[in-house]
Amino acid sequence: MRFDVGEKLSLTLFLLLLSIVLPWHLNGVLFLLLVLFRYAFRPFRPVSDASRRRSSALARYLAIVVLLMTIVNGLLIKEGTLWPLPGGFTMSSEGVTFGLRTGMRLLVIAMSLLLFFGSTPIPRLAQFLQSVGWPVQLVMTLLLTLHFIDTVPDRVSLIFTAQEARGAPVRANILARTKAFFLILSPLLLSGIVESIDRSMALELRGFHGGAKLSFRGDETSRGRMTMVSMLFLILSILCIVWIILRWLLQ
Amino acid sequence: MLQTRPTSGSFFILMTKTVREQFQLEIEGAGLPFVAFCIALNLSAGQLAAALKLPIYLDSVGTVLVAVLCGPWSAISAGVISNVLASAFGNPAMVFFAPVAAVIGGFTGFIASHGWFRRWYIVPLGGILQGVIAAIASAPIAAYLFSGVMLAGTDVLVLYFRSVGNTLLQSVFFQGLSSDPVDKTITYILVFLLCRNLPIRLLQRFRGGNNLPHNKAMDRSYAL
Repeated sequence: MRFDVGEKLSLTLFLLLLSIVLPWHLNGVLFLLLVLFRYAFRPFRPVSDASRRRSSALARYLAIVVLLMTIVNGLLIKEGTLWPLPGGFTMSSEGVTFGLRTGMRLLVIAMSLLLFFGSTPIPRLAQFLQSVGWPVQLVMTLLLTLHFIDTVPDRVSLIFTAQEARGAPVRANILARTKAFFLILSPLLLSGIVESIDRSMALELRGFHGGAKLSFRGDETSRGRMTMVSMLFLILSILCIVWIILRWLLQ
Repeated sequence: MLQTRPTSGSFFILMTKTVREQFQLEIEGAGLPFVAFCIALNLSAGQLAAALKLPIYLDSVGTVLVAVLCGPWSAISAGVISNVLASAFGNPAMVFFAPVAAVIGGFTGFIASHGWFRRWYIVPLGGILQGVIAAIASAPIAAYLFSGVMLAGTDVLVLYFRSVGNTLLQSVFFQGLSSDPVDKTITYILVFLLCRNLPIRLLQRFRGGNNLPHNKAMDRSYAL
């Protein structure tokens, strides 16, 4: 079974809207199904080891946060039935329901987005966006950002170490640390501007500012036309929106 | 990837022609790679703030820089792309706050083009105003979509405001009001100081170079 970027995007949109429509226990079931889905279907498997590690770590982190959120809401919100706990504390039914409702929704939202971004390399997303009519400058910005995302954290850590070695107050009081933030950001910005000038010259020399489209290697997903699967998920998404509006109006 | 082919007619266009032209003007010269750099900066600034143990987000430094040096439309793009990529690289909820990032970029670009970054004493005022606007824009999204839970330390504030009897929307709004103006004011002052220290020959590479005060001392020190 093959899914192109457009189909995955429409499925993600449908899942996001579905998480708002479903009650918390069905969202819990949907979350477990999505976890299985990630391993069962090849088009939704993470594209790299880094992506797999990141998404697994995030799923574990979110599950812990949701558990904590449910407990804290149950302890702090004093509405509905109050269940007594040892030590004089009480757990409210409203608080627990609120925590579970929000938490399960967050889990489904996070898992849907992880499914999409984990299995879709950003260059392929950029290619798809260009095929559906995004301005070529925005597509180029997205691709250039990937280069900077790789290099900026290393540059930040290099400048951080250098400034710390020169005596910048990176571990002093909060005001001094704010000043240290400026001391790190200043050379970072300067180097960023210099690199931007170099890159803009390189782009101009290659004729980029002519406004022509970028061509990608292995141009397989640049069709830009809507498939039956995309159409189906978009219709289901519209139905979800109608349901949300009706529910809101009838309340 | 950099081989080009003739432009064909687009199926659906997300921007009107005027906006597209304006955007192209803003990213002329070094603008386009600079927008990309600032998006990466948005994603890394939070990591730096955490390394320095600063209790603020500072995740819109890049968007504000683009707004001042390039213009509002490129800042809106930078904000939206930052949030989409933040979703891809770690915090999935960020994609829903893309409209807030767009508001931050658009508003900063607008006030920067009206000279708010030329005088130091107006800059904090802009930051406070921006913080209030960001709180207003983000409250409905945080309340209705996430019930006020953003998986951050500020969630405790929302819980506190709820426990003293406010509605969810009010609690999220008050939490935004208590943290966003401080964050945005620091961001604005930081960007003002950063840009003020840039030599004029670098500022001239950007369309928004005139949005900033002319620092003659820096010109002399960087003169070739």
